[in-house]
Amino acid sequence: MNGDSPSEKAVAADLASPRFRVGVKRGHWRQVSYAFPVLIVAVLAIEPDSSSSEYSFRFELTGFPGTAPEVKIWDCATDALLPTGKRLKGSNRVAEAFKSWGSETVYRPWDRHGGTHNNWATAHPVLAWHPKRDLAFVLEDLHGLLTSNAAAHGNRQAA
Amino acid sequence: MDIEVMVEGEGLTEVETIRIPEGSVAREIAKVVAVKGGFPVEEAILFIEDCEEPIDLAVVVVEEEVGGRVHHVHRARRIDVAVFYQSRQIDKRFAPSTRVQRVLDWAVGPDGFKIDPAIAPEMELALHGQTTALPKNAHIGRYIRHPHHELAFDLIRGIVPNGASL
Repeated sequence: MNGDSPSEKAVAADLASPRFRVGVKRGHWRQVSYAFPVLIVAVLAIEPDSSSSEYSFRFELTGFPGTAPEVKIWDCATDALLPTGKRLKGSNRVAEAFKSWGSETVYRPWDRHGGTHNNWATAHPVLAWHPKRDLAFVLEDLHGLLTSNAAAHGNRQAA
Repeated sequence: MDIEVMVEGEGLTEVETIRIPEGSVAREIAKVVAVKGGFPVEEAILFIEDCEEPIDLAVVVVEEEVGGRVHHVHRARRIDVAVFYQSRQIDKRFAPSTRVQRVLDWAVGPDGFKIDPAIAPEMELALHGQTTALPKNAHIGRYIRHPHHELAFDLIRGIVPNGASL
C-alpha cells in the first residue's frame, strides 16, 4: 500500500474526524496501533462489578468504506482473538455481541460477517454498515455495549 | 495560534470542531455556532456538556480548559423532557447540553421508571414515536429548536440478534 489508496484516505479521514477525536478526548476509546489495513482500538468498558476496564478490537479495513469493517475482539498481548472466557460479561445483548461464533467477529449488524448472518443487517438497517458510515459509528456502538453494565449499578461516572 | 473547540448546538446534527483565535472570549464560540445553526448570536447561550448552568460569554477561553470538553450553544436555557414507557410518563427539565446518556440514566434509575437492574443495560432512548435508538453521547439540544422547549422520548429496548428487539 502506498498510503494513497481510497481506503487508506477514508480511514485517515475517519481517524481525524471530530467524532473519533471526541471519543478519544472523552476517554471512551484510544488508538492502539494502525498499519493499513489493520487498526487496533481499545474501548473503555464497565465490568459487572462496576469496575472500569478496556477491551481491544482489531479492525480489518480492506475495501473500506465500501466494504464493511471486519471487527474482532482482540488480545494485544498475544496478537490473537481474545479467549471467550476473558470477554466482557453482561446483559443478553453484551453476551450476544461478544460470543464465539462461526466468523469470530463481533456479532453486530455493522460487521462484515455478522451483518450477512441470519439477515441481521437487513432486519436492522439502523445498525447495518453502508459506505456513509464511519469508524466512530462502530466505536460508539461498541462503547455503548461495553459500558452498559453501568446502568445496572448507576456507575455512569466511570463510563 | 488558534484554539480548537468541540461544539454541538441548536441546528447542528453532529459534534463539530471549530477554531477560534487565542485570547478570544467565550462569546466567539457562541457566535460561530450561532452562524452555523442559523440564529442570532445575541440569543445564544453557551453551556459545557452535562452542565446545567451557562458560561459567562465574557470570559477568556483558555485552551487547557476547553480542550477535552464539548460545548453546546442553544437559545433555550432549559428543555422540558418527557419520557414514555409502557403507558407511563415521567418529566424533568434539563439543560440542552445534557447528553442522551444522562437522560437515559435518569429514566431507568430510581427517580425514573425504576427499571430492573438486570434489564436496565438493555434500554435505549428514541424520539417519541420512533424506534431508532439515539446516540448516547448526543446532546439533547440538537433535537429541538427554539422557541420549542419540549422534547419527548420513548424508553425502548435495544436491538439483539435473530431479528428481534427484546
